[in-house]
Amino acid sequence: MELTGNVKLSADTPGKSRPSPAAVVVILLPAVLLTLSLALHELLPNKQPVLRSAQYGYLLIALLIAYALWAMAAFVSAGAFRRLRSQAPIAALVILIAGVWELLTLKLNALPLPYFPSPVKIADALIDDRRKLLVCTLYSLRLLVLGYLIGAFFGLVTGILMGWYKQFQYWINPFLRFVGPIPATAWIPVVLLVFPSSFTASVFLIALGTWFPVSVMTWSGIAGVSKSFFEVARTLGAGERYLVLRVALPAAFPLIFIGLFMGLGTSFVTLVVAEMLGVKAGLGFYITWAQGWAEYYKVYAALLIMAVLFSTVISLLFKLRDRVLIWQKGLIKW
Amino acid sequence: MVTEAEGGQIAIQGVSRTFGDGGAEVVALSRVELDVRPGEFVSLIGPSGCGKSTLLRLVAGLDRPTAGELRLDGEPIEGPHYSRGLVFQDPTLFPWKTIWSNVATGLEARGVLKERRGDVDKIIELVGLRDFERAYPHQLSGGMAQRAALARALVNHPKVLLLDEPLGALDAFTRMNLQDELLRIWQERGTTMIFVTHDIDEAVYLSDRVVIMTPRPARIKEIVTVDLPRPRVRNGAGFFEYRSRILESLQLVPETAQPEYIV
Repeated sequence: MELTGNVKLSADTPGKSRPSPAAVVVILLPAVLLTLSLALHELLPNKQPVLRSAQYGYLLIALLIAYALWAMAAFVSAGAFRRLRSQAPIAALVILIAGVWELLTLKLNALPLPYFPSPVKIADALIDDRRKLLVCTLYSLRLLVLGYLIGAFFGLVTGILMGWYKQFQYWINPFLRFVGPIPATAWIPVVLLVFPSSFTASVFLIALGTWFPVSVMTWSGIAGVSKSFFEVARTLGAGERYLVLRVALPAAFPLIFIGLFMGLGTSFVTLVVAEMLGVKAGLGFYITWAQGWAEYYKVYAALLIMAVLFSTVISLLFKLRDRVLIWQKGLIKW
Repeated sequence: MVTEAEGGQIAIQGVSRTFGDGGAEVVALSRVELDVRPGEFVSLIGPSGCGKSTLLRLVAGLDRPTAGELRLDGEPIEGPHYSRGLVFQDPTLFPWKTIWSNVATGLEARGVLKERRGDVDKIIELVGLRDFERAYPHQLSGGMAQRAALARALVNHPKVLLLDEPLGALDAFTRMNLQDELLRIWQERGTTMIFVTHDIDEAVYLSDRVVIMTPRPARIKEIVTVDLPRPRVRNGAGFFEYRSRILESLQLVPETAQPEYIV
């Protein structure tokens, strides 16, 4: 009785009392793997050419220090401990993959070059080509933000007008249905002809690709708002402006956000394809250009940056959604 | 009794409403005549399909009569207006707004919220939702949500409050509780009340007059003036008398049955 009571207590408050042996092993795992990777990186001889081997070692050391600091924080706060305990296994897996990858490439030369470069070689590209990569990232970001915002704005306007005015829906719906489903990228040959520059053409394409899903979802969102909301608002003295902007629009927000997410996905695709085919800047362009020189490690570097960039943008949209749809908390989860 | 709202007299003159066109026409209301005095509490009662909700929607201005005329203090009713508040059976609170903002909707929609924020606080206090101002509708129970809906309709100081089975979806205790609250608010504000219900006890407990309606043809059958002092006793002899009378009028009592058995 006494013993089980104690065990339970320690399981309930892991930060304060002594953590279980299993938890200790799990938490130590990333640190052990980082140390092993570092040893592998420093001790085994390289079998492939790389410019800077030391920097990758510094990166591993920095990660090790950061992890140690996190672990120390976990001793103080129970919340940090719980997060560490849950994140440690996945962190360990990522470290393991990077270690095995380096072993197979740089240290054993088991995968063919130039197609499968080592992580050290990719770090080379990130360091050496940093100016160019930064400029390309900013170009891509500019195109993405401009195109997406324009597309989302017109999508919202189109959707609201279609949802609210029968006449507007009558005239626009056939075009939306007929032209909308064409992937924006399929327009590239035409659009490049019509627009004065490849930049404006790309902005248009991204906007077009975003406009379609945002329009459709906004429209169906507004058309689906319960009639009694409008009736209540009208008996409270609401005019048409209030009904559209303060009743229909917020009521449609859950669907509008689905449209915004769909549009964002499309805009990534359109951005990269447009850059690969027409625009002479940006990450898509960089990838094609590096591929032309068979510098695949640069391709991977650009892919890595893209992954970081796009997932950050998506997280931002999620943050915005959580803020706007805070009233849904506990109501719907998707 | 303090009368806050001025006026609030409703005149319903020869009002008919038919739905559907061509072959299958449904007469929802047929030549309804009713005068509601300012500050009066009137209930509309009858089986479902008797057009009581239709009549309420006509008074609210959400629907137009096929024939006849409706007036508020002599002015023809031509559309919805904040002087005629409406509460549905479903609270229909805006789920994206907090309770405070829901209640403030009427003032916000009319562009007078800035000067009258205090009114919102006062009304929320009046219906006893002070601690739930910042809650969202899905966090409230059915009774509290209906209080919020009531507050939202009252914030505009309507001359007439139209209630479409507002307590119909609530349990018996919450219901009786809210009936008393409604009476308290009515007495405090002097708002004219038109209350649709299918609960005979509720109608007798609340109303100055009970309007009994019949379906097919949908029209007013009888108007019973409830001449009982307030606060009314739900199990008093007078109460039962009115109850039986309304039951009989609705033809819910077999011809042979004796009134004693019904009670």
